Amino acid sequence: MAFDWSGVLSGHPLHWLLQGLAVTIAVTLVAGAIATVVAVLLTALRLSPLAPVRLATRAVVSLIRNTPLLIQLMVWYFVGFARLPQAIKDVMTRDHPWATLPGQVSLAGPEFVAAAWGVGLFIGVFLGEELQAGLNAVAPGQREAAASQGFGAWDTLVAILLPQALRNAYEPVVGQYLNLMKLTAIACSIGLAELTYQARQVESFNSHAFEAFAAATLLYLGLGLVLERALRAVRRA
Amino acid sequence: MADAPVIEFRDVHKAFGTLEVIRGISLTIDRGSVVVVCGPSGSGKSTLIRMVNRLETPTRGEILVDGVSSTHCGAEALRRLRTGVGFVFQQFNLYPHLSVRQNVTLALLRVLGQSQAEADATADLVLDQVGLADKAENFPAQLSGGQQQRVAIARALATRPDLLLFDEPTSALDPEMIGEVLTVIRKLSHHGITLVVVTHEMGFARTVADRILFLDQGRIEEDAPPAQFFEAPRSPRARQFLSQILSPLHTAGD
Amino acid sequence: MGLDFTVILKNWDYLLWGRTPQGEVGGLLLTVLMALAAGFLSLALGIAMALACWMGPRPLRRALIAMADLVRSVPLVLVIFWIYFLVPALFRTQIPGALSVIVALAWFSSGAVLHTTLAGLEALPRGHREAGLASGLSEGQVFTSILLPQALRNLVPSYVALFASMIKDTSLAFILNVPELTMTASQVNTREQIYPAEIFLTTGAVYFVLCAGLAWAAQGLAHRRPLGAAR
Repeated sequence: MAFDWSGVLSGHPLHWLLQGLAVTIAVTLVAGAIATVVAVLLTALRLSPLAPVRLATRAVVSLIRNTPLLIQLMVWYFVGFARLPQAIKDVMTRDHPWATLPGQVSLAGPEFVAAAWGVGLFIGVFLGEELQAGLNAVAPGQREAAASQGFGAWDTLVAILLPQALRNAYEPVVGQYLNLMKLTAIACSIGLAELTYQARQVESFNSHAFEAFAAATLLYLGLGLVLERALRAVRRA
Repeated sequence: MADAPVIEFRDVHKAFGTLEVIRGISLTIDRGSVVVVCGPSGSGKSTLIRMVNRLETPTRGEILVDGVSSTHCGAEALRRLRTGVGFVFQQFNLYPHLSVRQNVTLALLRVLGQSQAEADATADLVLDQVGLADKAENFPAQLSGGQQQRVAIARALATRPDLLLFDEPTSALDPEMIGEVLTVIRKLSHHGITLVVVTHEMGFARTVADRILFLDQGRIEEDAPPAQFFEAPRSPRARQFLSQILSPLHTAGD
Repeated sequence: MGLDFTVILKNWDYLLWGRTPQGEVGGLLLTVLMALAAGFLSLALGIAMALACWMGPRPLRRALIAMADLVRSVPLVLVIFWIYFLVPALFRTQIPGALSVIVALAWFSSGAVLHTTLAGLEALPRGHREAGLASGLSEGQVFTSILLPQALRNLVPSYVALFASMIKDTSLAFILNVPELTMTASQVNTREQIYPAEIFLTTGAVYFVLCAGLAWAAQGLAHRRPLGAAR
């Protein structure tokens, strides 16, 4: 079995792979931001004094945890996009040269938006679960101390409970962000030209399956290492 | 208003399910006084002071702090009330992810909206008051129990409360550290702040308190100045408690 | 909302079992079959690795865990492509997409089974092993007749949860055009064109009932007092 690395590391294939990498990085960052917001929001909602709010939150969480991510992406892509107001759809399908990633992938396009939103929401739920576990491990006396000093619910959460929850749950939280990066590969099924999609493109272009997937694998591994280092650096801050 | 009582209990009852812990307590506590609350385990002493700033809610009756009902006031008013009442816990409950200085300034910054400069100045003052000015940048985990509790007291003092509540402040400390905390509390008694201390430390009660409340099974069985409480207690339960506390070996086999 | 579910009524049999009557297993039936196959494989592989880690030398343990973690550091989608494109190159035979997915899933999940099983073994009180050794049993006998049975019983809820994940992951067979539930739903959508909401929401609901049901069962099992816990 002879390997032809030049077939993959030069010319069009190389461009495609790098473009795919850029898209993967972009989706990961946007989805990561969405996941963070969703996780904090869910945690806050679960502390609501209103029982219907807590119930609704648990229902949404259960729904998202127990359906495949691929189906969720399809729902957002086919159903969600179709039901947006026409004006927004027009904006999304237009060309925005200033918001276009390498490989003609528009940041406002339905593929990118569905992928970022779908993966972000999905991981946001799991991230919220880890945060909740971390919160549960915070000593009850902390809430009382905050209450006795006159802190309101939001300040208590943000200044006292969440920082401790994050310390408690740091490893699982990092794991979820890494998961998020890996799950972006699923978006190739809805046509997002991220790294896995491009690896397939190369394979169908010159049949260099091994080299193409090997290159993609190395890039994912590298990306994972960088992401993990970055998250650990954040912790020290 | 200067002569109005700081705390007023009006027929306060508290039950946890079917278990009655406080059975009808009515009393007032005067401004500037130092009150010690003592009694056997399960007498309800912790519950009593925890109801003052509504960490627990009375099932009947109400408690007024400076004329405002802490039992019935709204959320906003409760927060304001709590900034005027310092609370020191048995387990210290310092914020472990913050330094000593940050523990003291957090409420000043986020609840009272003070500037960093103001908050830092106050922190320096109160930390000096408890003798821990040099530990400002340390974290709670690096301090001994006695030091942590003193930081907790500093944290409670930072908001300049008129009233300080202590829930068994030395019960979680190793014996050699009890003294440093009691010394700090004793010094506070000279500053005109009202102090209510739940404690087993009878030596402290005898020398520092103006008034001793003896609680048994949810009722005030004795309410007297230290001289009277220790020399001539009127209630039989109080007498029994004192004899047990003062000579535990003697009464064990009776 | 204006949803018209007659499209589901028209196609429910195709969604449930695809072209099975014509000899090509598909739909929900294929999903469950793939999940079961991958589940058993990953369980066997994962537990075997856990055994090796537990009884073998430290370097072996480190190597096995490193290998398992390496596979999991890469997207599952990519692992599926690896198996699909590489096995023919290595073994000179083309394998059906479904089999690629089963192998890929089993390999990927075996790492999770490994970690879970090791955790279950480590959670057992140390006294059990010592009692066994003290009564004359060998290390191997202690493991197979005392530790492993207890650990496995305690781990049933965790394994059920992993199986629920497996069901969800079979949806990725879509990328190889394997006609499991997600693919059949997509085919119906392509054919009917105007009912994506009804189709995908129903498909999601089917997965939900299956996975939520399994998760609920796992929770119920977990509430039984674990073997070996002190009374």
